[in-house]
Amino acid sequence: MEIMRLVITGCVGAGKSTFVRSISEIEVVDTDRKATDEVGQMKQNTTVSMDFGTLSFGPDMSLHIYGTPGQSRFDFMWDILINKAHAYILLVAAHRPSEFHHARRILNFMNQRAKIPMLIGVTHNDCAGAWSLENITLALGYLPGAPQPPVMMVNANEKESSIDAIITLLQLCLGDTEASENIDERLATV
Amino acid sequence: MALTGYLADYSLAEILQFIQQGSKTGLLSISIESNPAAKTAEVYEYTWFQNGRVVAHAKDLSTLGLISMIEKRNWVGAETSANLRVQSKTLTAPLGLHLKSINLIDVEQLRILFHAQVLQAVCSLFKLQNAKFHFDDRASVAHIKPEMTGMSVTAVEVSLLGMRSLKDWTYLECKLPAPEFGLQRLQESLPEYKLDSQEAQMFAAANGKLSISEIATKIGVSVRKAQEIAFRLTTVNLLKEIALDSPVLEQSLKKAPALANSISAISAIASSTKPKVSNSFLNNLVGFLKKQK
Repeated sequence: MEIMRLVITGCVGAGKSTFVRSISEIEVVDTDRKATDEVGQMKQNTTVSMDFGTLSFGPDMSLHIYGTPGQSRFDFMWDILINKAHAYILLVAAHRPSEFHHARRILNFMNQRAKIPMLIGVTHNDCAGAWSLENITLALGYLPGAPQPPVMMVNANEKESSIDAIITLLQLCLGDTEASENIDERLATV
Repeated sequence: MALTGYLADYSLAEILQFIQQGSKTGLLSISIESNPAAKTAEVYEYTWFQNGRVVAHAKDLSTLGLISMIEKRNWVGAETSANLRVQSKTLTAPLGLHLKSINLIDVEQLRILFHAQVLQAVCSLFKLQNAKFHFDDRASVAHIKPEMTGMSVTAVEVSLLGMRSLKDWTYLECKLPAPEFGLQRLQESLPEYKLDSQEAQMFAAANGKLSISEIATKIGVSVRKAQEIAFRLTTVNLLKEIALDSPVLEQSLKKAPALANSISAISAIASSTKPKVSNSFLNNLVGFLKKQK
């Protein structure tokens, strides 16, 4: 069985659980629990452990999708997931600048732990006070002109939009594997 | 595109970091309801930026603020002052530099003006928590020559000054780095501007191996104080937060019993290997997803 692990991460309320549900063929293993702290004011239920969904597309091929916890205090969960992930998507709610600092923190954490293809998905673009993709990218610490990952709008409620994000990320993975295969071939011929 | 929000959500330190990193030019307006209960008129503060540097600050858009400051200090006579008010509308250079070029004020007076107009005023904004902000990056600085001394300061430098003077950090509490996180320098040498002694000590200790708690002990400050200094130095892009070694799973689960139900799933992932995915797998998945749309 060939399995690819995709991690969906981001702040509370960015749409991680919705994203996993929009793609998964199985009923998502939902570990949402009632939040007992300030997070509860933002979202009635928040993911304290993780969401898990799958997508099988052949007898022996499957995409496993993991949604990280929204709360920052469970860092070790991200640690476990990111170490085993092949790629990840960071979801950022465009209308919540209060969360950009934390999103930047997650980004640093993820990139420090694993060098894997990633994409930034900007959600809630239709909400009042939503920031533009360009400004969100800057707020996340990517300087103008410097290399940056793909950044795109994502509507986690729409399956097509979630699929578009995954396809973009897969194309990035394809570029990565082709590059590493070329290196392997070159090494083999030396 | 203009940005709008509340300082309680996106702090002034973050706004200034954003402006500096994007080398933004524009006008930052901050409005404060002087008495929200009585719904009294809003008080405005205006700060202009050019390529990520603060060039002027005023409490209104009349462009007469700098002249008023000069008049208040009796640095020019009434007649000169009246002429200046007329001339200011057609100035092509910053007023401060213009006055210096005709020997009406000297460099030291320019520094005093800039300190009062920009540094003091912008630093005082850090105390505001419930104010609204609006940053318009389409606003030009061409018409505010009468408000400009000709001096400027980077946005993060003024941010550092502002955060140093901040006594109440309550509204920034959720943004402070966790004590167990480490810090790493983003540059090896000290910046051109001066750090205070605690900042310099933290900068030196930020080797990517010590936690903020350990740095606090090392430099002799409380953990909370160290978190505040760390926030200052990260928002001015001198340090970055890094996660040190991850806690042992079992220890973490003891701290978070709500996760107990997920232990088997977590353990399964943690103990599994991470094989490479093949190109054919990726191509098949892309093809499959395209059909799903």
